[in-house]
Amino acid sequence: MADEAAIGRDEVEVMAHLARLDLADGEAESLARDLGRILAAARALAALDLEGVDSAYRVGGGEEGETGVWPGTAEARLRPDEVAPGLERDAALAAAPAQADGFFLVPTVVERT
Amino acid sequence: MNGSGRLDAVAWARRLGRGEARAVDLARAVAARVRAVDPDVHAYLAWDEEALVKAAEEADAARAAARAGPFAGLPTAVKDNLTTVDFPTTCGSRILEGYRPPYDATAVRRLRAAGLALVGKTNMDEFAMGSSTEHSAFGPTRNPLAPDRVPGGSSGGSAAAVAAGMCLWALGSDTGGSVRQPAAYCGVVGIKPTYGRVSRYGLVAFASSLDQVGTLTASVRDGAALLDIVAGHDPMDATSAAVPAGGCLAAAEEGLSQGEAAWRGVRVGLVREALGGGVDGAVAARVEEAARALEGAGARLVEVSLPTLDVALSAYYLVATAEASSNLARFDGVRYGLRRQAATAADTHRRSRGAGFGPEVKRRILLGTYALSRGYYDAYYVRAQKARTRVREDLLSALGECDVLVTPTAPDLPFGLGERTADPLAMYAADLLTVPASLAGFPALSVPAGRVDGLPVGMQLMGRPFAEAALVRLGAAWEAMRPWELPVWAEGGEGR
Amino acid sequence: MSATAARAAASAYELVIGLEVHIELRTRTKMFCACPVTFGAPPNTAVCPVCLGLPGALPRPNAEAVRYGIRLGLALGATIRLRGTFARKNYFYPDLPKGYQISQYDQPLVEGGAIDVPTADGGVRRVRVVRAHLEEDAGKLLHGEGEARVDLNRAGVPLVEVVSAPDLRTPQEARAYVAELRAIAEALGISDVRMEEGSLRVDANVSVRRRGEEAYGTRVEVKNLNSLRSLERALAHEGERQAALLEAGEAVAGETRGWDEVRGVTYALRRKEGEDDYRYFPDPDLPPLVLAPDAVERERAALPELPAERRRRYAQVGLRAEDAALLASRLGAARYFDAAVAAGGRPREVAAWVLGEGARIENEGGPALEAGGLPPHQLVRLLERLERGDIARTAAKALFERLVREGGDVDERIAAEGLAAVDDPAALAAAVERVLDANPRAVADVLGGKEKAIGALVGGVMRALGGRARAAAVEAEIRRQLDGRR
Repeated sequence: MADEAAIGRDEVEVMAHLARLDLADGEAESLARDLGRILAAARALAALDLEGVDSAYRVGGGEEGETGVWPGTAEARLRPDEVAPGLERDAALAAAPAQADGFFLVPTVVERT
Repeated sequence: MNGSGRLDAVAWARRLGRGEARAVDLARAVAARVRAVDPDVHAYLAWDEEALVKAAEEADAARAAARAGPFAGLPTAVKDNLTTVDFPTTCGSRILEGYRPPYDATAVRRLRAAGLALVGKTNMDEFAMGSSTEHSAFGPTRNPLAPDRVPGGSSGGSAAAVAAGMCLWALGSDTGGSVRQPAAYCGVVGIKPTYGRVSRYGLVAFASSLDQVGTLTASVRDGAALLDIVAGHDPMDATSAAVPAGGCLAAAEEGLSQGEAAWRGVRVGLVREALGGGVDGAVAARVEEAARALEGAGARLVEVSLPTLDVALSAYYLVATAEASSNLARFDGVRYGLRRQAATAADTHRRSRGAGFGPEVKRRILLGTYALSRGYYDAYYVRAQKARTRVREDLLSALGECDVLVTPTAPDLPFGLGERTADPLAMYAADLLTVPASLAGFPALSVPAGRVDGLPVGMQLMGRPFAEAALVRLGAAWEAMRPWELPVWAEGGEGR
Repeated sequence: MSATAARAAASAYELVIGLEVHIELRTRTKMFCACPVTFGAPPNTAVCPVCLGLPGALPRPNAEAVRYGIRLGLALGATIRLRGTFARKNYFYPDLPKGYQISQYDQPLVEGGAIDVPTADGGVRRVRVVRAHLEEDAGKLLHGEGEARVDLNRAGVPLVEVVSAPDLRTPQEARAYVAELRAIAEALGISDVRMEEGSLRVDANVSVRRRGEEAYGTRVEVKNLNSLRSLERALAHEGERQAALLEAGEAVAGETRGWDEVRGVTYALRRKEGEDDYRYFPDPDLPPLVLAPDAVERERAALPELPAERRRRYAQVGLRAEDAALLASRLGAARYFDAAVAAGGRPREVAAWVLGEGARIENEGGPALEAGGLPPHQLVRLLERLERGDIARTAAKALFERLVREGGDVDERIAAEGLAAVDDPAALAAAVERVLDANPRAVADVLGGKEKAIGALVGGVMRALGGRARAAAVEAEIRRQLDGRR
């Protein structure tokens, strides 16, 4: 983990771009300060010896054989390939800020890379 | 109507069942209480007296026709991050202001299937991100026990609605303590079940691997009964556990009737780190007193250690915000929710999200984006997940030495409104003792354990996965030993 | 640089191509919800809270899609991962409802494997497959003036993405690889494999290096190549472009490019720095995908014959390598061929009709043979009648086309339309006599020793009889009468 947990305004702006978040004037600076403090607090994690520890989270009962059981195999958690009724189009579009002719409308889209 | 003065949902259900009362009168009394109290408390974001009374009338009719379930007609509050077709679901956020989902959450469907009457949707920190309900875009909720203080959060609205008698019981959600901590702050009971116990379908996600629907009730028995109603496998949620549910109410009844005897021979693990640094001395003292009372009842106190307690909070905030940064990406102003139109779709996304999310949500989205981004993923996200595995191992190991783990629920007393809003780290610290069970997915229960300066202290009991019945049995036995004052709820009641 | 110069420069360079092929799976329902997989349905009519990305909705993986993925993996000779994970690929786009695509990242369902791509010389080239993983499709965007329309019917449709190693060296090989993969997917019954409908989409990673060099050049990703033809053209163009840059001493930029079908060029797509940071992480809504070993074995046992085996089998029954490959690449035609051979048809003859007349009719907009009005056993009957001389070849071709397009019984149509060859010796003799009388010059030529001239006489008789005569019988009668005129 980075020892200097300080995070700059520019980094906050990169994150804000990735997260599609408009920030108000001055918001990037204060967020940079907050995030820096939070990440500094997370430095305790760096001190933890995590050699060989599984990073796969395993919540609830975990896998069979551990304390408790997560019953049902993964197969059982899969869904049979059977059609079930979904939403009527009106219901699907009901909350849309803009719609026409059965479509959701959005402003001009720049081609995705 | 003539209220008993003590809010007891199961007792009311039995009264209804015996024909000693009508659900419609109960509904009217609750509505009167909401009208009288909620302008000050602000527990509800939306409520509907007419619908409540109508649902109660239907329950009365069903009962008359012997078609009603045992809890039909009980006025019930639901946190505003569970989808409902008949109320807006806003998650306390501007971005979802006025949004009406086209489907009910599974937990809500189960409430309806049991015939419960919905009062309304309760206030919460925006997208469940907070520990005080002050991060609601629609204004904070006050603690009914101390109006200048916070009710805790993020299920502060549900906790306050129960504490102020504005419903008979309520559903909340708990990601890192969001049911237990407000329960503790409002002097009520909160259950966070095992991850997978209650379906998350229709629970608007904050952090998917941590979120769990929980209960806020006046008594342990009520919590047990409400949990029985909503628990159980749901094929709509791939993380829902196919474990037989139910039996909590019976276990709670058993605990109530056994009282002290239920604790005899029980090995109570007192978590050393949870009674030391970072925990208010008076709060720790109350919980230690409670532990001694349990010892007096025949329990064996075992001192156990959770060496990862100090890092659990950081691990929690990294994992939870990483997941949240992705979960909240769907709020883009295209299919629903607030839109701030710009010339391009991308700028519309940016502006809508910038305007729709509050500062705490933005902070967490950015933190989570950072924790997942190239170059930081291994150092933050992966490391936090590994720490999480260690927390789980620590809890399992501690639970190998005892039957139940005991800690304070929150490290402190309800704090003042506005006291911590400028200091995110101070706010996060309120989750110190609740995040381990969340990270591990284990069940936990918060019960009142006395007061300090008139403010409630919560005691947390943590158990093994899917051992909710054992927890509520012990919790109810504790309640029988040290009954706490239940909220006064009836019409004309004075509150407290 | 002129096109000629570009090609000259290119010849000193070698293309290195790796392909990412997205195959839409033909399951009944979407990858993570129970909405039907549709094509051409009215917009937003096959949607639900899950594929609309509504708040609170959760994904549930489609068991059939997982089985299809396993099947494909086995067909590629790959390893099936018994414990995989789904991951989220995070990016914003209006056709992506959740703001992330559920995909697989570091633990894909399928790892390794290879495709033996048939080459022009009848051999094969082994192209390694790195991985194949399951994911969900995005919706569709219809770009308009100042706005775009979003249809989410396709959002959540299951895809398998097959990633090859950079083993391909020419645009033709790349094309053959995709054709083979398409044939495999078709044989497995896991996809409609219609490129024109977008059920098979290709992205290419392209670099060039000087021939003989080992190190790879800078890689360029060319996206959305949606027909075999565009794939081949785009790769050829991109190779030339990169070679020309290097030849001019310039560097190739590692970038993503689009393909302009009309202008026949690739062009750089705008990209903001860091835009491609997809922040993959395990999807916390989905537990690990754990497969029972016997689930994999069940799929293995149920694998159908694959194109490569089919090619071998066709070669064994005597088809030319080229025909065997062509037939094996088209499942419907191959099945038709197999049924006709099973009904007694001779393989080479059947193949000639299937790949000749059959393909011609389909190319001209007629029905595919397997979907037309001439079932395999009827084709065999037609060939029998042809061989017996009951119908002339020209007439047989015409009848074949009518039957494929309109249906009907071979024997009945031959009888009803008087297509049966003229068997009456008197009628034949009369026709021959008329033709000989009308062509004294040709008669003289033949009698004078110009054997080839007899062809014209045979043709004349055939025409006179509307093609309904056996050429051998006609020639015999001509010779008999000519003998009489010597």
